[in-house]
Amino acid sequence: MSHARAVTAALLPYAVALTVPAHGAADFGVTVNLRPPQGCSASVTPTGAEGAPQVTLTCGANLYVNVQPTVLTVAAGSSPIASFAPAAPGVMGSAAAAPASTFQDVSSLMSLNDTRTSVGGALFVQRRATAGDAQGAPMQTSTNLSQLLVEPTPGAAANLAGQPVEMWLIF
Amino acid sequence: MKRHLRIASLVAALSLYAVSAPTTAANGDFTLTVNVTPSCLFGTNALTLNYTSFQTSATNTTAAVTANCTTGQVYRLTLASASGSAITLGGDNITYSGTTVGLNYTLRIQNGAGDTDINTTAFQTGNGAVGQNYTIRGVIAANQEGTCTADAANTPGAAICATATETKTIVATF
Repeated sequence: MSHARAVTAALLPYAVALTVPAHGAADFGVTVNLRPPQGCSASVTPTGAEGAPQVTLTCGANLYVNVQPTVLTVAAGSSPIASFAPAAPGVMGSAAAAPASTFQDVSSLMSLNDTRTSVGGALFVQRRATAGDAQGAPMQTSTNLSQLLVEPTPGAAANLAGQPVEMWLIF
Repeated sequence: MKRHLRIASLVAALSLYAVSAPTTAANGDFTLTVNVTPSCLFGTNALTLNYTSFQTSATNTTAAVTANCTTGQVYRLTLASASGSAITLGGDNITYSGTTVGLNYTLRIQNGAGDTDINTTAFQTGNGAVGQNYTIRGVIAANQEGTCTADAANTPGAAICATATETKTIVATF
């Protein structure tokens, strides 16, 4: 009896349906790797709040850089300022941060987009807000203040993102 | 003896029935229906975009995509920001803003050679197992600063200071 039932079932109508998704989709990953820059962009303000020129660095949030000094060009025939004018307390470049005989306030010698003759001075750039940050060694010369670029280097950490800094000429 | 006779009679009756049954069913007709729902299967690759803060040229990277869509099926391609998210048909480019590293980037679908954009309204035609090649092009424009992770060990020009991976989706619509 069971044998006969199997033969009959094999001859009945049947349907085949393939079920697949209505459309196709696939995921893929997009990875973004960010590296710190070789140099930060800088804008120069000839005269800052304390009479010194300021540089505002744009280095990206949470980017920690150490600033090297840059040689500054100053007006031809101008005389180096003989006496050191201490900055206001708490401002970088004050007597507490470096010997008084080393630094000069060069604000009166500087202007933007003004080509001058180099007198071999070295410009140190430091963050204003915190005293005691280390200074680097003189690095390069420039013939125009608009070309000034503060070069960060690996080393001591100082978060300079958007921070105003003061520049000092050293002879 | 009587039991043996009853078993023999039963076997004989079943044999006659089994022989006669197939003769009637062999003439029956049947209908075979095959319903095929179109589909696309994609092979994707990860896309990596390397960027240095304030770089003066754009980062431009591609990743290959293969699509095996049902032969003859017309479809359109687009990108979704994540699995199951809404898609928009009608544009050339898909723009995303990186969140973790603070960079904006765009993704585009291009042909296999990676030299021609594919508008999301353009119709493609599946060719089955042969497959079709496409390109995902990712671009990060120049002069963006990005955001490093807060880590005092970050140093300029050195190691990666931030990385983020986002999952995007390529979608075929019919």
